Amino acid sequence: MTPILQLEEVRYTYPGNAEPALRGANLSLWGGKKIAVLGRNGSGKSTLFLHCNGILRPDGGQLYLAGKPVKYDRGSLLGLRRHVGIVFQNPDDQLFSASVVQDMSFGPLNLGLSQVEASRRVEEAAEQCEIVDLLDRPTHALSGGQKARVALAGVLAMEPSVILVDEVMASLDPWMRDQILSILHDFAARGRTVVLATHDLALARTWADLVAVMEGGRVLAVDTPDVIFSSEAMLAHLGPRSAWFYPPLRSASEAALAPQGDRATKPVAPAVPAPVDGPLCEPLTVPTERNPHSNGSGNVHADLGKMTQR
Amino acid sequence: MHVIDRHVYANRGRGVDPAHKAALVLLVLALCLLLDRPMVGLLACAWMWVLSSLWAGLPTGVFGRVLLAQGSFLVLAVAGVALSAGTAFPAGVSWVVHVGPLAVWASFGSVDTALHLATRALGGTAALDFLVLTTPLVDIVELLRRLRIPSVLIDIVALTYRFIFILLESLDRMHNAQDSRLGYSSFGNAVKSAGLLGSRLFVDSYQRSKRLQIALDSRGYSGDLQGLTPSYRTDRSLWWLGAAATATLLIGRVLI
Ligand SMILES: Nc1ncnc2c1ncn2[C@@H]1O[C@H](COP(=O)(O)OP(=O)(O)O)[C@@H](O)[C@H]1O
Ligand SMILES: [Mg+2]
Repeated sequence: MTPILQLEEVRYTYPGNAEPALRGANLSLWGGKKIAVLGRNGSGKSTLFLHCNGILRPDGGQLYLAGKPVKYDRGSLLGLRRHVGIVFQNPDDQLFSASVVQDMSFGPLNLGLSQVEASRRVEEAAEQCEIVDLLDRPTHALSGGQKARVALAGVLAMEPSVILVDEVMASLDPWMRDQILSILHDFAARGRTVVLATHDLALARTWADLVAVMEGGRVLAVDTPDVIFSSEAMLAHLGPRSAWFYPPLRSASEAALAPQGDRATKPVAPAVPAPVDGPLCEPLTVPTERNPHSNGSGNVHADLGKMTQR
Repeated sequence: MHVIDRHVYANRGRGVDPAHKAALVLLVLALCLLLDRPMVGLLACAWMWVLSSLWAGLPTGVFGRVLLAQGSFLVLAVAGVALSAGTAFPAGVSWVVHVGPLAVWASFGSVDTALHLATRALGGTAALDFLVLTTPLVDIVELLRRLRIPSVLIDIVALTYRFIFILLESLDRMHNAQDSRLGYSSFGNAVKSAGLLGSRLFVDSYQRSKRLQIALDSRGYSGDLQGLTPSYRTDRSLWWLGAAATATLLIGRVLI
């Protein structure tokens, strides 16, 4: 089976910058997966996304769409953009039209769809994102959460195979956030791929099927949340004290005894995601003595896991 | 801007085909210009007020307020036509006021010209106000498209409209950021802050346009800002009202 989209050793330096933004990034995206991309500010998440969509052209390395190398002529780019959609961090950058329905129909019409088909897709996406009552509204009269949903709907209406969502969660309230997560979950459930750049470790651990960790323009590891969050090395990349808040799922001694225990210590290996079997998240038991902030209520994350896992 | 914007999306005339509204407006505009009688201009104002308040259901004060604002500019503009000033005034003037060594005068002729100008312009303005207050920009853009205006021009109109609001928002945010750090605490500070804000806004718009280009490209932009063609309804009552307005203006020309 070939991945929908594969990035191989992609290198890129922004014009005028000395430091490269990507230094040989590898990533493979399969259908039906929800992938969270973690990594510090400036680690190259947005740059990686812009490559997936053909906005930026790698200085070195190669992209493959369904196994075929991506060329950068007009036709191939349209093909790539038909399959890969990006929801940008700031919806105001994305919404250019005076009215919601005009903005949402922009992508589908660019795909060469008829007015009838485009309006069907707009309606469908609007229903999914619960913005049917906003369709006739002017874009500038929307709230932040509404803008985020309209921006998402505008990309969903193009029915891409892969949707990349760049850090939109930070400015949303928990309800809005949950709604968008569940839309993305449904999208993945239909065999498509969701890639979400985020700084929310709890979200990555509970919602995602796979977690990719970026650092300094490389993808350090792609693996299940279990594996990533049981690796001390990975946790060290995810932020100060993340080992306190997100202690390894299995204690170190257990992991060492387990048959495939060496995965926990060497998850940096291939950029090929392991197939996910069984439940996405094991019930979490947080050893309270390792978590100075938990005050004995160590199952906070476990509750969160139940709520966001649909 | 915001006053117009608030009402334009919430009036009964909104869904009506913009071509029909525009036809009525152009007819009234043409009558005001061609018939060139003060009464015609005033009747046109009255009709447009009736159409916006009773037909489109805008609050009665809104149309009046908008027209009043434009009317006051108009009065200033035609004052120059009606009045003249100098040290000596010609024979045959009707009114003279002496202000020290200066004389300010007007004649029947000049006042009449000013009145014609003002009412003609006011009638036309009222007609356009009706269109602007009942038709969102999306519909005006659609109308331009049907008139086969080159799409580059139409896209510029559409983007500019959107960017006005985005820029206003950035302006607001930056102003608040400066104000909260005492950027406007004295006249000197205010001048400096305003200058910084202006240059910053310029850079901001430039960067934003680059991000917009990226966002458009990512959705397959190919040089044309396409959108769905909206569907409109036809309102016969607008036609009858239009006919009645035309008749009234013509009668106004004959009688007065
Ligand atoms: N438009 C740009 N021009 C120049 N350099 C940029 C631009 N965007 C990002 N960079 C640089 O590229 C690197 C990666 O940035 P980015 O992909 O935005 O990271 P992230 O999204 O993970 O925060 C950073 O060092 C940043 O300074
Ligand atoms: Mg980023």
